[in-house]
Amino acid sequence: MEFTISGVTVNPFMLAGIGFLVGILGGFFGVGGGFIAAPFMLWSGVPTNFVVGTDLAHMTGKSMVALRHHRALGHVDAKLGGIMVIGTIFGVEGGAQMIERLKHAGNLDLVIGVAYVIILLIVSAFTAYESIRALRMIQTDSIDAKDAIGFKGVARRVQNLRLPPYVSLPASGIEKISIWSLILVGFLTGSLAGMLGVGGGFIRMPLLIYVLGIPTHVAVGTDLFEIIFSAGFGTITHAIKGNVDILMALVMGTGAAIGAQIGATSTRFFVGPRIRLMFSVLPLIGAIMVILNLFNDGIIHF
Amino acid sequence: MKEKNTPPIRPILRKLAIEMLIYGILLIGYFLVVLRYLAEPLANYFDSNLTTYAFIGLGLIIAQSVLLDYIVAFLIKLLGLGHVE
Repeated sequence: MEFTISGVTVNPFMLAGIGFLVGILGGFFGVGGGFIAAPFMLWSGVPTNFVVGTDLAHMTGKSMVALRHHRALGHVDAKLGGIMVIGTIFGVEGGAQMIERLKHAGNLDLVIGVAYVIILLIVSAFTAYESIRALRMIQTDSIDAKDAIGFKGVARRVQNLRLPPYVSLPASGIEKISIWSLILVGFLTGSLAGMLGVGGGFIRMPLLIYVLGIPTHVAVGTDLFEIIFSAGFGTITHAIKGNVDILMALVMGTGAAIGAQIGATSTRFFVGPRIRLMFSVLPLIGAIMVILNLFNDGIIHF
Repeated sequence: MKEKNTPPIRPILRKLAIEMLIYGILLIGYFLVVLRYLAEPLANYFDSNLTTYAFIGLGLIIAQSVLLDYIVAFLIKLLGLGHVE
């Protein structure tokens, strides 16, 4: 099928297949999946400048499908998502400004690449460690799976923070929490997303669970809520710059629609610690791909 | 403590395979008819007005995702497949 906007001819079923795979990941883990979709799109011959924008466009649609199913399962805390969006918007802008300053300083790609790898490896290792602890707690201490979290210290302190105004998050089972905690987490993930050019799902998910104490299934659904806003905003800005092939995004969206449904529905069959353990693999894959890119681009070498 | 009571896998996979087969057939028709029809108007907007292109594009993405989601749900209901409780 010819895509005249991006000037390539790609098998539409391959694109739908990419969308399907990313849809499952998004529906199950609440991530955008850009770090999986982008390499496949590049491999399919899509020009580099169209990859990010087109992926954001299809990510918006996919996240809407997944969100609808998570909402039906009671996995979305819209109040939490809405408050975090405030922080995210300012964070993305702040991250973009930081990029401009780093550009003038030089070595932008190396600094960003190394920072990205470090963050991803920390997230992967910590999530794996915590989820294994939680699974052991379920078996040895006979506690309910939804209460099994191997690292609760930070979340307890954050929830006890005395900094008004406060909000209640009944969908997340939180009676009272400072609104500034939510905005700060949104700002932090937005900054990282703005600097690293990603959706931020695989950073936001662990922050929601371990810093704010949001239950895993609700973190997945609420993360998708955030992604809709950030990916939608990114779609508009990239499209105005002429970097989005909407037709390609629509084709990818056909696979993503059913993939996201499968992914979202599948969360019913897994407990939180198992989802977190499987999730810990994603940042590791992301880190490996960033390292490979740094070698391919000659930014680092032996 | 048992984590969760998981339903049998084979019926789920069978239902999933049927759903995907029907969905795949509908997709072929969708590619051949709808998306090919959209190619030229979208390219024209891309060449003439990127801001309009951006908002129309986002609107199409959202509309398609909602439509396809309802189609899949309708298929499931029509064929009596349902989801395992």
